[in-house]
Parts: sequence; C-alpha cells; structure tokens
Amino acid sequence: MQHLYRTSSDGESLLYAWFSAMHTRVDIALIAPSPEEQMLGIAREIKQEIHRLETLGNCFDPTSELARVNRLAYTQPQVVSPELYHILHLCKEAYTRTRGHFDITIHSEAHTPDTIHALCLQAETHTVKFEKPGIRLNLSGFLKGYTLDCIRPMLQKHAIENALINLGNSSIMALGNQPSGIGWKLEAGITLHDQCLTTSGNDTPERRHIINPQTGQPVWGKRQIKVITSQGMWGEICSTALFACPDEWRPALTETLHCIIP
Amino acid sequence: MKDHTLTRRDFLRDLGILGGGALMLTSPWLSAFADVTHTSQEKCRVAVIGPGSRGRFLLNFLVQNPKVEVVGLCDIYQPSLDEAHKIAPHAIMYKDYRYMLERSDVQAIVVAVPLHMHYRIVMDVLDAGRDVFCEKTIGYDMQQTYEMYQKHRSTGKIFFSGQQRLFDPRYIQAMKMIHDGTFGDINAIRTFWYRNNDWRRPVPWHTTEPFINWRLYSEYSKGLMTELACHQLQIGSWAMREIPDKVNGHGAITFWKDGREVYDNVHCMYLFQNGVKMTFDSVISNKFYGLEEQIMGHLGTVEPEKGKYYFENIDPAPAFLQLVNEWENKLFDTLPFAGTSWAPETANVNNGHYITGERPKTDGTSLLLEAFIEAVITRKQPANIAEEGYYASQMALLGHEALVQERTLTFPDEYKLDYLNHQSLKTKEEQA
Repeated sequence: MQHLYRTSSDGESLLYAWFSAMHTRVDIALIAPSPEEQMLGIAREIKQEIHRLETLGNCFDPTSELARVNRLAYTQPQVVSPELYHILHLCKEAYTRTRGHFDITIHSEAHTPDTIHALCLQAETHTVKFEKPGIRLNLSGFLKGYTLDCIRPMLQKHAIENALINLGNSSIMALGNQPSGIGWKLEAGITLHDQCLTTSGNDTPERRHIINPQTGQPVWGKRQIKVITSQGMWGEICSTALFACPDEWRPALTETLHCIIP
Repeated sequence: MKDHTLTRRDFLRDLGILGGGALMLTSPWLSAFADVTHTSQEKCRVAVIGPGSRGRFLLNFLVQNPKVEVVGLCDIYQPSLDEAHKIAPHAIMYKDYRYMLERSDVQAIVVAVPLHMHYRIVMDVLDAGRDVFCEKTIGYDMQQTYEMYQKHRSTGKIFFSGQQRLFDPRYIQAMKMIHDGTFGDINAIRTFWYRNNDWRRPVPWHTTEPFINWRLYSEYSKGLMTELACHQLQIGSWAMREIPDKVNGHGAITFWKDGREVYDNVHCMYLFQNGVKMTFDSVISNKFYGLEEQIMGHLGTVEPEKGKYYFENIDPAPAFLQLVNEWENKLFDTLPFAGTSWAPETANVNNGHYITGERPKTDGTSLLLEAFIEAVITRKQPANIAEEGYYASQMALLGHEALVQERTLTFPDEYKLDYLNHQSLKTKEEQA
C-alpha cells in the first residue's frame, strides 16, 4: 500500500492511500487531526477488511468461501458463515425487488429467469444448496458496495468523520466534507454527503459485461447509470438493475428502489 | 506586460509561495519571491558582460522584466555587442568591463562570458561591490570556484549562478514529491545529454577559431562536463540532499576528430555515501535519447525533463493526487473520477503523469533571473542558491578531473562548505 500524508496549519491532516484489490484500484482519503502512523493504521485496517471480504465472496478465487459453495453446493448442502449467508439472502431479496434485473446466478450454465429459485437457503442451519447443476454465484456486482458498508463503521469507530473511499471509480463512499466545503463534490452536479455513488455501464461500445437476466442478452451501447444511495450495497443492486432493465421500466423501478439518479 | 505579471503570479500561487509556502522546505531559494509584491515600484539597473548567444538569451528575459533597466553591455566581440544593443537600445556599450564598473549606477552584473574568463571578471565585479549572476560553470577549476564563492561570502554581495532548473516548476514539484517519499527510497539517478552535432559555430574571417568555438578547447572550457553535466549533476544533490563522495569515469574523442581538445564522449559515475549512484552520460554523435534525469525510487520514477513521473505498481488516482497537492492551500474543488469500473487490464500502459498536470512550458531561466533581480532589490541572498550552484560546478569539475586522470577521485576536504553532508575544514578544526 502506498500513501501520502499532509498536514495543514489548522491542525487537520490528510492521508491518501492507494492499492489494488478486488481486481481494481482502491483509493482511501482520510481527514482527521491525527498523526501519520495512526491514520496509516486505519488505512491498513481497511485494506485487511477488503482482503477478508475478497476471501469470502470472490468467485474467481478458488480458495474463497463462495468458490467452495459454487463447487460443492449441488452435490451436498454447504454450511456457510453467517456473513455469506446474510449476503446471499440479501441478494435473493434484491432479485425480487428489482423484478429479476439483479441476479447473482446470471453466469450459471443454461441460465433462465428462474435459475435463482434453484438457490436454496436454510436459515436454521446456515446452509446453501443448489437444486440444479451448473449454478454459479457471482457477487461481482454486489461486493464492492457491501465492502463500503463494512468500512463505514470502522471509520466511525476511529472517529473519522470526513473520508472518501473509492473502489474502482464505480463504487464510492463519501463521509462528511471535503476540505473547505460541504459534502464531497465528485463532478459537476454531484455532491455526496454521507452517501454512496455507484456506476454501472459500458465504458466502450465493445464492453458488454452486464447481462439482462430476463433476456439473457448483454446490454449494448456505451452508456452508464449512476445512482446515489445511503448504502453501498443497495447502490450496486440499483445501478446494475437499472442498467440491465429495458428503458421503459426504468422510471417505475427507480421509484420502487428508492434511489436517486443524479 | 500584464500577461507577464499574471503568469508570474500564477506561478507563485501554484507553488504556494503566496499562500503558505510548502515548497520552501524543498526549494528554500524560492524565498527570493517572498517580497515580490512590495518591490513592484523598484527598478534595478543591470549590465551584461558577454552578450553572446547565451548572454542575449538572458538579456531577452531581462528587458521584459518591468523592474529591470539594462544600462550597460560589454563585449570584446563587436558583432555580439551590436546584436545585444538591438535588444537593449538604451544601454551604453563597453569593450572593457572595468570602465563599466566605474559607473556608480550599475547595481548588478550578469556574466555570460566563456568559462575561462569567469574568475577574473566575477572577482572584479564582487570587489567593486556589485551583485553577480554568473553563468555556469562558476569557475574554470575547483580552486577558482572556491575562491569565487568565498568572495561572495566575504563581500556579502548577491551571487547566483545559471542553474535554471532550481526555478523550473517541474523540478520544484518533482523534488517536493521525492522529498515527501512519494517515489520511495531513491536508489539510482541516471542523467544523460545526447546531441548529434559538432558543437561548432561558423568562424567569421576577422576572428579566430578558439575565440568563437571556445567550448572545444581545453584552455577555455572543459567541454561536456562544464557545459552540460553541471546542470544535471545538481539534480542529484537536490534529490538526495547530499553531495556525492566520489566520482570516476572515462572520456574520449570517438567521433568528432576535427582538432577539438575536449571529449565528445563521456561517462561519469558519482557515488553517494550510502552506495547510491548517479551517472552522467553524454555523446554528441547520436541524439535519439535526448536529455533527461531519471530519478529512480523503489516506488516510482521521475523524469523531470519530460515533466513526468511513473509509479512502479498502481498509480495514485490523479484526482486524489490533486486533492493532496492542493491540501495546503485548500483550493480544492471537485474530484472528477467517478465512472465505470477501473480494471488493471485497461490501465496496463504506464504513460505516467505530468508533474505539474500539464506539458512543460518553461525551463526556469526567466524565473531564475527574476529571483536574482528580487534578491538585488531586497538585498537578501536566498537560502542555498549559491551553495547549490557551487556544488553543481564543483561536481562537474571534479568529474572532469576524474576523466582526465582516469581514476576515482574523492571530493577534496579543502573545497567543502558547511552544506548538507559536508563540513568545511574550518568547522572541522573548530570542532576538533
């Protein structure tokens, strides 16, 4: 992890730390009247937390808990950690609330809009069972936002009131205020104050990585959807669903999901 | 003139001099501009000795400065004098600088004569009680350079040498980042200056070859070391905040075998106390790589000539870097970076970042001269500027000596000042 630390005459300090994780870049800006080592310690804690969540939910890492579930949950119910169970439960709920436009089973073999129903969760035993072969859970469109939600109480514990956390430019959490300002001005017209900004989309015409779960077809075109939410994970769900859904569905879905489109 | 003032003000503001001065720790000579707003009505009367090509380059900046009145020009070569007079038509022309020094209204002298003449002229100018801007390299040898520096100290007169990188925004910002640890521990500095020409100028019928092409003859110059290396070696002590201990290398004439006496192909290796090395390479029969100083830390590399830096691994985000750079002045506005996911495979070409956020615009010469004028007006010698120039010259001269002797030379104790890792002999004796 690399970092820069600056102090100013008003007693406030700025620590900027950056590193790569979750197959993207992470930028952490913390503002507090604290010495370098203390702020660096907080940044290190955040890095460890991100690493922990990757080990939990990165389906591309064969050693992760989620990868184990993907490998074995069809042949035998898998007992998972309370946290992973909670995440999978939330994601199933999100499928319903987004009318099927946020679907963590989208990368399964022979996916249909019903594939999600083959993901069975047993609350009493914290077990996960696939009722069909070839199911593959993918939390890529969820985990960064969830990570932001895990970082927030850590910052509160350390009394950091002003901070900006960026996970790959697409998942951003802004707490408190930027230097000499109210909230954090991220670009023209977008100011965040204790909120998250999440972006889903295609940055080039060739990139079509988001699939509409209802049609099974990738969403075409160089465009993007930004949403502002109080929770990072909800931002991921909303932006993905609103990007994937047909244009005519978007206004109603926006209203149902209670998110702000800047 | 309005634009000129605005540009300078922007520069000073951008460097934080008008609003806190975070860069002063890295480049303390920027204090020259501390009183810049209080000297706007002042006028400094300046003369130029040696308005040849370099001298006229400097003269062009001087005449644009509203605080300068160029009152004298001196050269023994009439064509140079005539050309310079077109730039400063109100200046009185002299063939002998000693007559010019008799004028009481000349406050400061810019000396841009060939190297072998620096010593006599600068010593006379300082003895005459005038402030001096002397083109680099300061002296023809280490003894002369030492005596010139000591004369500056004993007379208390302002003394600058032509190390324009000290006022180049790229270098100033880069050094701040280096000193802040942005690029980690600096373990190597590679400097090079490549050209592909014979370095000759046409010789008019009425004069002689060494008079015009003095850079090629050892009686007048030490060639690539005093003309080019002097600029780049100074980067080492600025970045490392240390003077190298030793130097070795090799020099030869490998291509331009045209009767010249100075090397056209040199390589020097300077060694710092902790084992870090700084190299200087110059060949003037191939210009492909141009000139650069590559300052290499374990986290990143700076190439200040290009105005760029590069990180070894993941780069800092430019918007966050802007936040860091503007922290001191609290000029912070927006952070324009939100978008679709950043992925390493889309960022695997390391094109680096511009140190000042844009392509380089200036090489610092104009600001160096402005700083000199400010110092003359305010009677304040900016911290470290004479010493940086002194050691740049001494390192170039010591390097040349190592090439000639073909052996490793250690920096002589008798030429050490109380500066950075050096202690003067006098201080050492006092401590003993």
